[in-house]
Amino acid sequence: MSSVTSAHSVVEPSPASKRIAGAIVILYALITMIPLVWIFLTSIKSPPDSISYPPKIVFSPTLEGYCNLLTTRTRQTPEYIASLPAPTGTCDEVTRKRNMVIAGPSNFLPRLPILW
Amino acid sequence: MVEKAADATARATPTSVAHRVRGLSDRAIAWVFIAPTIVLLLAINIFPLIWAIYLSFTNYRANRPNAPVQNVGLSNYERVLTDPDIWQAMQTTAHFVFWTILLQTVIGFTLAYLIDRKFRGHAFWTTLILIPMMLSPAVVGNFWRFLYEPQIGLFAYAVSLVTGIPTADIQMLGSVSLAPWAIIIVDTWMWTPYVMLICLAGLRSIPDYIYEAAEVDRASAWRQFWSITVPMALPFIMLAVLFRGIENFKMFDMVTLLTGGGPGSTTEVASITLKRTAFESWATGRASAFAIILFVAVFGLANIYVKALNKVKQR
Repeated sequence: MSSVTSAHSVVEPSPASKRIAGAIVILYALITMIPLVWIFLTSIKSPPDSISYPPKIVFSPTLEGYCNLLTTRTRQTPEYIASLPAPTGTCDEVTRKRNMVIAGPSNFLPRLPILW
Repeated sequence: MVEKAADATARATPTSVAHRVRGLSDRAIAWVFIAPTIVLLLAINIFPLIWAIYLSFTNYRANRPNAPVQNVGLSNYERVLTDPDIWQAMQTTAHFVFWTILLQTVIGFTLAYLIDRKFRGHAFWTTLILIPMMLSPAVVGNFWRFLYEPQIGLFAYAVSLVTGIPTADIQMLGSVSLAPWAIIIVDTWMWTPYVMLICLAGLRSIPDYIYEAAEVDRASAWRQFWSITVPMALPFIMLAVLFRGIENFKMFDMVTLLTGGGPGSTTEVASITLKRTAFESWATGRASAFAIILFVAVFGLANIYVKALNKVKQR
């Protein structure tokens, strides 16, 4: 970028100092991102994975957390769940795996500001 | 100039409106327009303040609204100022404010100085660094509590991985010695970008020709930093310290969410004590007195600080 400019400026930082500055800033940015990235990763973990020890970095992502947030579920017998027609959506599917069926939206849903 | 602008506005006003408001002077119309705002401000900001001052001289209790209210004079103030618990809370607050400001200023200024080297992609990384500042304190408090969990949290796991201390011993929120630092870490993580942003504005405002002149005078980089960069960015750094100081003096949300003042009362900062006095002991009068004392303290300190800031600016 700066190698193309022909005019030399005495106040322009040297390439070496730029590289060191860049390295430190990027390192800081990456470290401060860890908590945020971790919370996002936890949001797409299954409940057992999210509280496992040692913390799981490799896991199979699932939308279960979001489904649990947005729906109310009730427990049903395996026979009843087996008698139901095929699941209509992702949330239906992950809920049935836990022997539950979706009973309706959660109390949280009407409070989501994006839906107003 | 102002008169002319007003005339132009008056000409642009539809004749029917102009007809209806004829007879009102410009000043009167201005008052009509700002009256709703003033009424709202008085009702929502000024009235509660005056009411709190009144309550601070009484023995009023908010959970007994029908009990007779007696004027107790200055005894509420006396009790607050002689209460050792409240002085303990003030010390906790001072510890918290001192360390958060120190860490945030040092890290924030260093980052701003490095970003000002304008390396490739610095704009992108600046934006990334600013993200923690944009989150709600409620969200931050909740997810840091999850990260601090000794059994399942990432923080304890990472620390034990590096130091070899078993995770069960890393009770960031449960240990008397670590809990204050847990809150300081979260506040520093969240608000360093804010200090960095203000410092960056300060560094960008230093004109290049000063550095060019210093270069002509063969001043070393070290000398340039201490004789140009620091003095010229100092008003901005001081402004950042002022903002963070006022904010952290009344810190409530993050402490409530992370420790709730515990363990014991080791992280009970002034605003937590205030809330407990007002809504757990229901000593509304005493809580009002405490609130007024806190307000006067912040107001006084901030005023002295602003005077110093103005002196630095005029140099």
